[in-house]
Amino acid sequence: MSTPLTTTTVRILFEGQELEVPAGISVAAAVAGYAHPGHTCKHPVDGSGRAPFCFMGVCFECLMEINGLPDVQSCLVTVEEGMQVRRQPLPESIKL
Amino acid sequence: MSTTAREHDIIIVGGGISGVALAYGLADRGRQITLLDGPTATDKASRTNVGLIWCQSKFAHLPDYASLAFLSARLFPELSRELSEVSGLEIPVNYRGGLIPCLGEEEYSSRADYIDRLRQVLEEYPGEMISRSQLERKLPAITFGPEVTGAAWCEADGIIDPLALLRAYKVALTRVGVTTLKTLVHQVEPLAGGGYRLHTATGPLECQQLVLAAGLANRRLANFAIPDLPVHADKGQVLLVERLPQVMPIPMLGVTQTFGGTVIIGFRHEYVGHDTQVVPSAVASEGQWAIRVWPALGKRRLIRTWSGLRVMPKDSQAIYSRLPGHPGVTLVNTHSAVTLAAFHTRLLADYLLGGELPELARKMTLNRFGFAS
Repeated sequence: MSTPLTTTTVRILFEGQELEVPAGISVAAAVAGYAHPGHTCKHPVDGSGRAPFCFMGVCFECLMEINGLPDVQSCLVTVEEGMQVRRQPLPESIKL
Repeated sequence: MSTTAREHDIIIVGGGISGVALAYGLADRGRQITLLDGPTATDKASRTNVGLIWCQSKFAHLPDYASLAFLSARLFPELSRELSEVSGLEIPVNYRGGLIPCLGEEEYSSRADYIDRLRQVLEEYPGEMISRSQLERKLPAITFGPEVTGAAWCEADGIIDPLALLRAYKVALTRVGVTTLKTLVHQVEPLAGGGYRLHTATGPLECQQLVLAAGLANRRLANFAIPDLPVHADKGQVLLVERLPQVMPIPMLGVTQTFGGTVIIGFRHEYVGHDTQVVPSAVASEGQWAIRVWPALGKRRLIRTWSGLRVMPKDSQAIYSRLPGHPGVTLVNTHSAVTLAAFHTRLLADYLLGGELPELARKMTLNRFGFAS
């Protein structure tokens, strides 16, 4: 059983860095596996660095900005050619 | 699976906040205490709440019960410090009071009338109505909706991380010699020669004295003595908002920020048996109310919704009682296991060992429902 998972790749940008990743995987998997980002968002209360944890839509630790839209659960979005991905913007900008 | 019953001295059934609080209170009495905690699939009301230590604006018609909450809240700071020390675990808690936001003049004045009544009944009441501008000073990081007229404020209230409290109690129990067994109790059988046999998923257990603190499961466990314990499943449904920076140094009822930064929205009490379906229109109405109080929430991400069953005695008041004909069995049921935890730990041990109830709780036995003691 050595069939490769994918035969094609797509290119996405993470914080301006070009990544060539397998087509069909999630943005969270692509960033975690190919960009080694350290953190992808910061905890709004204590400021600690956070990164994708559950990869299945439950933990909300993988929030990132995708194509300009913040607060996206990156584990639920499939990579697309040319996608622009950034770390989740810091919460100071939130007006409550 | 063992078939010979193991002998125990005192068994407490229920590993939620009520059970652990009672067990911890008994730990220094020189008795052998065994706590039975059911599996995850059972109703776990101790994991279905936001952890408010809440005294204000309730039970004007049951003044002793209202006073009991204030008493327990006063005992809480010293208890949470002790539990942290004994368990070595931090328990996020804040004792800075609590707020009930009011929408419109009518709601504000009916809340004010209720607090006046409570003040008369209790003679002393550490709270008052505050204006919108006073509310804004207490929670300066929140922009309130235009309909908010003010709030009820009470300095005795607070909030504790309920899971951290439960965990600290459980770890503390291991340090003070209480044995905890993970098992489901199916049925309690009184023995002819005195004592009780518990039929559990892992075999029979026997004890001399029994404490039933298993929330809704008390109805099943007590049915050898009372076929229809007057305790109901109280369904709540909540919305959970994504983590936000800490903006609620004083908790608000109905829309409460947790220590982790998420905001839990919910205030429903539904009596629909054991149905735990989340009803979209029901949670939506809670969200609509929350946005009227705090409009910015409407722009934040909802991360989930869930429902859970809480414990509600028929008349809302706690039950502290022997079972009719069974002086060896004590039953504890309350909707307010978090608020009353300090009372349960500090002031109920004598009663569990066969003594009298504390003065304030004397009328909280099953006698009030017409059961003979």
